[in-house]
Amino acid sequence: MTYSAADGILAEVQAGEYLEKKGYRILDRNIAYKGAGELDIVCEDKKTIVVVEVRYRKDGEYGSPLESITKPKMRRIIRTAERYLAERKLYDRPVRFDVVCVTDRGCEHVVNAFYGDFY
Amino acid sequence: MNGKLGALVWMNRICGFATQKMQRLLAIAGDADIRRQFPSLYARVAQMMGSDTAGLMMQTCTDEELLNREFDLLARAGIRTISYADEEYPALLKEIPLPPLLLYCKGDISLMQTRCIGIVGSRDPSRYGLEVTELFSKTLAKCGLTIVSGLARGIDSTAHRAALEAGGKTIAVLGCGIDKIYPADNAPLYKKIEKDGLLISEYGPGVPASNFQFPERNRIISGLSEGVLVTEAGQKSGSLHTANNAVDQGRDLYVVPCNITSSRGFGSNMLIKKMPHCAVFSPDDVAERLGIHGYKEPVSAMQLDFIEEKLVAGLGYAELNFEQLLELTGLGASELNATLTKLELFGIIKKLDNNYYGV
Amino acid sequence: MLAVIKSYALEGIEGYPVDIEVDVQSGIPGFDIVGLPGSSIKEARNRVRSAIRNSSFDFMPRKVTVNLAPADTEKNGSAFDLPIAVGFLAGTEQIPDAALKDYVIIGELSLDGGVRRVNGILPLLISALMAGHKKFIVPRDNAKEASYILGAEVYALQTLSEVCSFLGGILDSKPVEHSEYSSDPGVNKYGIDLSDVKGQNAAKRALEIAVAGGHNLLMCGPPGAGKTMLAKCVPTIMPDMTFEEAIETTKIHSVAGCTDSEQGVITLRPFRTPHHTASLISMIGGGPNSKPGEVSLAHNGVLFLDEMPEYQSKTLETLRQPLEDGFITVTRIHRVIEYPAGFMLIASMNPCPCGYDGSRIKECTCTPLEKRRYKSRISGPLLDRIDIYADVDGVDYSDLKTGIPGENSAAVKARVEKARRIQRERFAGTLTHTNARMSNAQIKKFCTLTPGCDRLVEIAFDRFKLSARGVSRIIKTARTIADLRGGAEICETDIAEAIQYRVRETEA
Repeated sequence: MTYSAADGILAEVQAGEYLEKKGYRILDRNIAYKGAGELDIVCEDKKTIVVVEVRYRKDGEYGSPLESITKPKMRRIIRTAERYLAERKLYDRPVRFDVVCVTDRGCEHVVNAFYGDFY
Repeated sequence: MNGKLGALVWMNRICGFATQKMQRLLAIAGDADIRRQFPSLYARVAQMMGSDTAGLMMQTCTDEELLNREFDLLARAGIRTISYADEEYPALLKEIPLPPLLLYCKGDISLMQTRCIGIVGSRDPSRYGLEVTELFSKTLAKCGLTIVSGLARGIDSTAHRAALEAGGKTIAVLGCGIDKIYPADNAPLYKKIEKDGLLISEYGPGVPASNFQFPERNRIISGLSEGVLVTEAGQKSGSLHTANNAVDQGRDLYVVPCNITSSRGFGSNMLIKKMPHCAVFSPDDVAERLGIHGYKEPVSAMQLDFIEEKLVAGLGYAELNFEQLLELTGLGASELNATLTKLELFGIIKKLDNNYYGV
Repeated sequence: MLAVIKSYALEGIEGYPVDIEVDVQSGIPGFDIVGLPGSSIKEARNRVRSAIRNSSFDFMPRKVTVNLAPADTEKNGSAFDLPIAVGFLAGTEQIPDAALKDYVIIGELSLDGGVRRVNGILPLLISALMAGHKKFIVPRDNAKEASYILGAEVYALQTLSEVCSFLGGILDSKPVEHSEYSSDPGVNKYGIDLSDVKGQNAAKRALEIAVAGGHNLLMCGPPGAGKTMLAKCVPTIMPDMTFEEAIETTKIHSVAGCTDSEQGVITLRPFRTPHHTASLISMIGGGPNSKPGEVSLAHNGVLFLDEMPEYQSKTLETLRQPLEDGFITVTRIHRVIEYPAGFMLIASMNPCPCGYDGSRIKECTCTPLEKRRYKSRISGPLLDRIDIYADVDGVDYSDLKTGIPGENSAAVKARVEKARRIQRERFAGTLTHTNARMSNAQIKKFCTLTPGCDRLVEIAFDRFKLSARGVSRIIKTARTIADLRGGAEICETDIAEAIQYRVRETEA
């Protein structure tokens, strides 16, 4: 089956709800810069800025949604995050990159999914 | 200049003729000086050798400068040239069919007037062959004979070397140009013979070694010698050729019997089978047939003690290795080594491969 | 926050201090290592991350910069894993940093948080100790090796969490107990004895002399005569290693990573037999990791080159420097390293390529050219450094059966030790240790020849066409023979025996 744009928007909404339930404060959604990438959700976990990438997959299809985040994708997210932090003057805050996978069975949250140097 | 010699050097060095052609040309010329008279001989030469060759000869025959330069070159290289008409030319060599007309020499040319014996054999000899060669060469050299051989690897080199070591004289007949060292690893030996013996060749400087020249060289070895000794020859050895030459030239042939189980001595043994009378069993046999007195080793000045006596006696019986000598003498390894050195120093015994010793 | 950990890195067989500065900052998380890390150090961040997580610490997403000071020398190896991990934990305040400055920390990490052994602990610790450091944290597997260093307070720990609790004062660990060096004199631990070799008394005697005077030896004989077995016996008749020698040798082996964690220090004299296809680098050392080569691993022991002419001539020629100086200089792009290489060379060869030249058993099938080529592969300059040449008998079956067992190694070793003692006294205060290394001046001073000896040498010189160097080799060997005998003067039999061992290069 194919995914529609609506599926993606729905997934981001679900993920946002899930994070808020966990006590995270959502700062921004869908940050996009021309020439750079896009950040799905930026939120705050206590002092730490958390950049969240949301992935949507039907159950078990084509492997785990986590695997679909490739190195170029990570690089794009990191670059975008750098720009975002600079604009909001947040660069002395600890930063974290998380991934939330939305599946039919609910949300799966991967803390520290990758680092600034992909490791 | 130089009459006959000049003519020969001209033909050999400048025109590039070998002995056979030179002989034919000389026959045409008869008593006349071929170089000076060449214009009158031109027609006959051209008929015999073609007009190209004759034309070349015509161009150079009176070129004194060219000839002088050639003589100069030879003199500077320390090479003497001897023609068959010179008195230094050995009388024996004149007797053979097709004697070399021109000899290039380095070293002591008076050696050609001494009594010579040829020693030849395989280039790939067995240990036995080398041993026999050394024994015969040394003893015969000490008897005053000059050892003639071909400076090849194996038996030839050993014969030369042994003669020089014994303080005797040796003549090396080369199958290549007089200034060429072939095989190259004989360079030290070549130098030594140049100094203490005589090197001769039918071929002038610069002539490379080539296969057909070696059999031609062999006829000079046997030609110079009163007799030829074959110490070890394989089935196809060139020394068999020398042996046949010797017989054809009416020289004595001596052959040392070889190990019948080894292929390396097959040729020698076949010679004996064909001509049983040529077998020799000691250097004295050879000396006797040549009518000279055998050479007696002077009794060693060194006084041997009991153990040394025993050791030498034991080795006289058979070659023994170190372990066997330990058993024989009852000495320790250290004393035995010292004793062996002493005996070796005085030339009574010698060390062989694989830790064997022999007298 | 910044944490600084002291560690040490290897340069040749010496250590030099490396300060590991770990800076932890907020910002986009990342882990950078600077200060010319080699690829094995760049990979450290993966090991460190997993080890920290698996030791139930938090690998916080922070901007981490690790600097290996001095920053201008290239570093390699995995020994910085542990200090980097400790630095990170201190930098993120997961462990207190108060105790850190007292310790030198060395160790590799495995992914599960275990601390693994590293190469070169002995030289690293010795260098650190000399620089004034007293307390060390090292991997448990390196404990035995480190225990031989007197005055060092060594804590050998097994996991990262142990290290952390120890540094935090929660775990009370005792320093490693000091091990006393003992070489068990009188016990032959080499698994082979001279009495196992039947016959071959000539070669055995040559071995004894060679070992007693530190002379290099060339054995020549047909295949299967026992050359290799004889060579293997050489360590059994060498004097036991002193503590200094053992430490020197262990240092080299430790750097090369071939020490045994049970044994700690190498007590047996090394016996190295590089194969004849050995490359230049494996022989002299160097390569990307700057490892000591075979010549260094044979330090204080034996380098045995079986079938010497089969080695590449380039490889053989490189032996000239170590044979002359006792060390080898390896020039690398970034630096020049010197490794000790004081070995005794024992070489063997066949008389010809097929091996049966002059044999009574089999006919030789080699052409003269082949034989000449074979022999010429050992160059003159190399032969010049070989004092003793021994022919090995071809063995008959009857010898094998009836051969009376000769002396055992212990008896020979006793004589060798006596001769070495004489040499030590003779050369006290000089750089020379053995007769083989005598300079010309020393030969003049210590090897006065009686008129009888002089005459013998003279005759031999003429008869055997010796070279001047050949004569000095004979005199040196004779000096050793006299020492074995206990004689102060060289006598005629000594010279005569020595002449038997001359290198017979130009004969036949």
